[in-house]
Amino acid sequence: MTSGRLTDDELERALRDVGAHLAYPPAADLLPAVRARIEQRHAESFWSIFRSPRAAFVPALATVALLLLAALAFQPIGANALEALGLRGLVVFRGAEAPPPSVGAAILPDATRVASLDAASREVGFEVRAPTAAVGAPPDEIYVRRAEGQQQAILVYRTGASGGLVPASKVPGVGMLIVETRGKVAQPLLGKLVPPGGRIEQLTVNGGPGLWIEGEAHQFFYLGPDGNILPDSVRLAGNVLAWEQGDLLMRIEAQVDRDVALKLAGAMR
Amino acid sequence: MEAYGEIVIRYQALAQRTAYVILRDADAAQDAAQEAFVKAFRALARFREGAPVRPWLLRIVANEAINRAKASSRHPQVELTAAVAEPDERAGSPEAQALASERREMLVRALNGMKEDDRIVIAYRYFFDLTEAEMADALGIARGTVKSRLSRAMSRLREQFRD
Repeated sequence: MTSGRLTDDELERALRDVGAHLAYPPAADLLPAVRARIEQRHAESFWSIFRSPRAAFVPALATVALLLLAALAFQPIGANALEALGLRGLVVFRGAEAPPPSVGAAILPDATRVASLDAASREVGFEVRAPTAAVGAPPDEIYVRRAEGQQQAILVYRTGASGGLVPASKVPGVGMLIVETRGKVAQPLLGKLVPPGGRIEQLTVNGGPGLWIEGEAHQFFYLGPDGNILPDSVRLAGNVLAWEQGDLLMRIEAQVDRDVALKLAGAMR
Repeated sequence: MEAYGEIVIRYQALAQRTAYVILRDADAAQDAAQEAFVKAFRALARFREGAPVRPWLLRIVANEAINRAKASSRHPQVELTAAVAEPDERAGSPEAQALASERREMLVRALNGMKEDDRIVIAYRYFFDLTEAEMADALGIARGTVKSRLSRAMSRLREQFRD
């Protein structure tokens, strides 16, 4: 018998028959090995960046982008807590250096200003909360931002409008930022680089896991809709309290100490 | 990682079969599939949201397996074989079943004599039932090129079949 005797249809049927009868080896459970390899690669890539002498000559932003790429490639489950920590949608990791905070453009250019917390809630599809009882006044400005796969509300408290609770930040005219984000759970939405002098503490905030980040200049990044890593200009480079609240990632940025930040978080209504 | 774990569980059998068709070595196929899942995880940020996962993943698996096949000069210790089919009354007379079995073995022999790139095109279409669009994604070629690639692979299969 030769293929010359088979029509195209017969040959196709015969190939489907082969496919159905091919003696494949039994499929192994790959998940444990895949997980182990991912964790191992993450640790290698994380440390190799610090060990590389080239890193010293790379511009700070590019170094941070590399670090964040390494971190984004891996949800840091089981990672050394001193090297990388994560909350829902947030990866926090230590870096050799952090670029200086940019002042001025505190709000993302694609954010839209809205008039009230209710309006913000309607825009983002979840209840936007504010620590009005603790601050003694509503936010001075409220913005919403809807990017691919995430919704964000940004509350801005101008210096002097927070009843003295929140001192001035490095961004002129802005005392405190509160950012509430809902996004896909499986995808890190934000990365935060903390330099060696910074302090990271794991704590419980409003019943959910949280992180207190204190110290030198921090850098936030976020994953853009096209998959590129972009510096997040919504930041004050102050101390940060970030925590999970339901399906939201909350963060407060201000030059306040941990106790004040926790008081503000507890007053979020 | 949990969501990605579901992808691994769902597609691991297909990934290993794909790698096996190319490498024809169970251990090598398993290792290539593992590595492909690691590479796919690292490429998740570039994955176009809403795009089908299966061809995207198969492309990574096949690339990994083909690169390994090309890098390795050693001939595979094992070749593709057809499983011995149990007699089945629904499959026709014993003579018809014997004929089908003989044809199957000849085709498998012909496939073993082909290059990995040709074998995977045929496997995608007839073993794994990928659509032309999925094949284009999995092979990283334009949809209009799928037919010609498949046609060339089938011609070479017929040549092998005659030998």
